[in-house]
Amino acid sequence: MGLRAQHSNGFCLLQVEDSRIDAAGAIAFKEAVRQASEGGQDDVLLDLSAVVAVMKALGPDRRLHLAGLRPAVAKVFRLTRMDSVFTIHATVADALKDAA
Amino acid sequence: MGKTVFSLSFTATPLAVRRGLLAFETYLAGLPVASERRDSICIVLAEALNNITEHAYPNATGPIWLRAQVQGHQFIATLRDRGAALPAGLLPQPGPGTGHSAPNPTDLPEGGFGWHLIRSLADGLDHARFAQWNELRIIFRNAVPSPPLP
Repeated sequence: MGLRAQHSNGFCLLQVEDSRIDAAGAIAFKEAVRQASEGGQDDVLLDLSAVVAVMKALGPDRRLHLAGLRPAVAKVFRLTRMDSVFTIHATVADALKDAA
Repeated sequence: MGKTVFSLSFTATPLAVRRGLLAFETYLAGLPVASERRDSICIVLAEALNNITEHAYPNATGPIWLRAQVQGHQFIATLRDRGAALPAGLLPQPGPGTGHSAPNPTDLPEGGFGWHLIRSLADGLDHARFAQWNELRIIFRNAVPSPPLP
């Protein structure tokens, strides 16, 4: 599971480099997110612009922000009402601008 | 213009399902189906195929047979597996207030959305058990505004 992490404007920005987060990759994805966000305090911003299919998330005191949802991914979030749980931004640039 | 019929068999494993879906998406991209509708069809098939690998074959694996075709303005996908029978009453019909309700997203559930997504996005569902096979027929109405000639 390709996941690139960097810190920016108070976010731990995670960029997903695979085009699918599906049942075959879900466990590896969860582990990659856990490792990449471990030990930090920042909110996590997940860039999904490379992702064309489905995803799932993480936990407690920090918020998870999502950016770059393609139409199919956005549809799944809407139908599962996951869009009410996460803070969703159109693009990473928008999210960073809002935080600045 | 792409072919009107798609047929593929594969083993019920997550990776084989992923490959099967990629082949299916290529086929679907060759049909005159709006991209918004294409997304819905792919989401439904992904959920239905993952249900089979998880629930029809919980401790083993087995064959999945996927066939899809344009029928007039309808798009119909048929899935067969030789796994455990779908429990009676599990198959929800499309529309509100039937079958399983979706989990509450604020509980951050890790699953249980499959049938909800299928029911929300498909227009018709039909399940039958023949001999040792499950057969699930999924219908998308008016998916093909101008059907290709057969």
